[in-house]
Amino acid sequence: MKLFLHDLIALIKKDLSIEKHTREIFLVMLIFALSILFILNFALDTEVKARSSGAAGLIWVILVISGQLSLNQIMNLEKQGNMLEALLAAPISRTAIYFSKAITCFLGMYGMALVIFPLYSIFYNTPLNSAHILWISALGCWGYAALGVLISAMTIQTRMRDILLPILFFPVIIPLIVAAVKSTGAIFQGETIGTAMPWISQLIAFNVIFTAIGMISFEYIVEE
Amino acid sequence: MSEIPDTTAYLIAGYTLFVLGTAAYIIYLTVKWKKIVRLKSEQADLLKRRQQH
Amino acid sequence: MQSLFPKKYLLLDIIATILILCAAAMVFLYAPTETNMGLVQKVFYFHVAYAWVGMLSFVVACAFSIVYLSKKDLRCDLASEAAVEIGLVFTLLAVGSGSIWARPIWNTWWTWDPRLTTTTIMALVYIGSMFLRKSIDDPNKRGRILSIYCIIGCASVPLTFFSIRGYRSIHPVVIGGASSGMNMTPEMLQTLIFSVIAFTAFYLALLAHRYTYAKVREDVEITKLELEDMDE
Repeated sequence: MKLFLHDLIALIKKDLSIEKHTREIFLVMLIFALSILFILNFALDTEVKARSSGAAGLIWVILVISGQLSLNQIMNLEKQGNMLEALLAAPISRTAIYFSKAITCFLGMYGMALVIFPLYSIFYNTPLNSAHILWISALGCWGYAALGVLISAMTIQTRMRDILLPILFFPVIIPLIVAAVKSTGAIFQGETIGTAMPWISQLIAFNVIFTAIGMISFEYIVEE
Repeated sequence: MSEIPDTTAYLIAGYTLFVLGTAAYIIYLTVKWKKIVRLKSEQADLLKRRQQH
Repeated sequence: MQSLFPKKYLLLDIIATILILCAAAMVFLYAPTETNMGLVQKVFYFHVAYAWVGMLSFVVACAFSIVYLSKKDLRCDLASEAAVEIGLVFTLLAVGSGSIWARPIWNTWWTWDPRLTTTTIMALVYIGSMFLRKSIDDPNKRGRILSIYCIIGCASVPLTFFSIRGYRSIHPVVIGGASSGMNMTPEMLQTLIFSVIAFTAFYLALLAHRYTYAKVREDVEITKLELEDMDE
């Protein structure tokens, strides 16, 4: 267990330091998300009501679409120069590799969520209402990263690569997004944690399911 | 009891869809099947000729 | 052609054809016309049968995937490939026919009802897995990745249904709900059950054909490689 944590932290540090030097993924993702945020302004020009009632949905759409960039990149990183083979040959458990990737991806997604939520609130004048958004959005981001990394590990091994990721990933991530949108939406409307609880517990359940699937099946996917 | 609405056109459309869709798939399978069988027999001939040489 | 295709499957074809003809006869001659909807209600028998086969095929594909992962038998992967393709055809036809039925009854071609939405998402998963299959060449890798994707899909699609179930639904509840929707006479119920059985038989026949095709195709691939080797 101690060894597992040690490997995990080392792997995450590796990914983060690559990101620190190149600044490839996070900034691109953020700028992409920002540009969608601005496009929304024109799309919803006259629909002031839609901006606030649909806020949760719109924010999650932004996160889902721009998060896909990081999913592609995070596995491509290893594919360049056959790093993945080297990683697999190293005496590290596959589970540690999976979790390191999922956590790095989660950090990116969550960092982006932390920027997009307040920005949306400022730009479109919708109050965020409660600090509970912080952990609810974290739950959504984790489920997204947990399943996304798995699908990304599949698609990098195919000929179509990046194009394939969204069409494989989006249909299967729908339940999680529905739960995330519903629970953040409930908080946005000013409901208490208690009334939003059915959706939040669903969100937690989906997180558990997707993480379990990812943990178990990752080794089948990267098997050589 | 009001009178039964006339929805025959939709009935015909629905069953046309079933028949055409299913038939299209069967035809698609048949064509693929014929093609692969032809390929297989060609290969068998080729193998036979190779062995004679 | 006959030599490649096992005789026992042929029997299945004949049985399925007869059953479907009987089902069609039941739909048009035996089942009474529904008084609220008129003749279009008769679409419903085949619609349910197609939707059922679409879902069944999804489970079948998932089951073959699990067997594949535990036994690494390539034949299971081929069977799963067959199930995915046939399932997609049936699901699309079910959604299409449902849409035709919905037009006169609900006055709209489409509604964001949980069942409709979930079925269509299922079709998307099918399509995704077909794309995935096309873009991997190595058969072992393909089998592994495809199996995992099928299992993910099979886990995720019911969750989708579960998560949007709370929305207002106008889809008639046929099974396990006495409330609104259809009041079926015994004749209607018999017809429905019979068509579901008929189409299940048809599905098995198609699956046998499609699977045999995939197997022959793999044989041809292998022979092709051998021939190329001989050339060198």
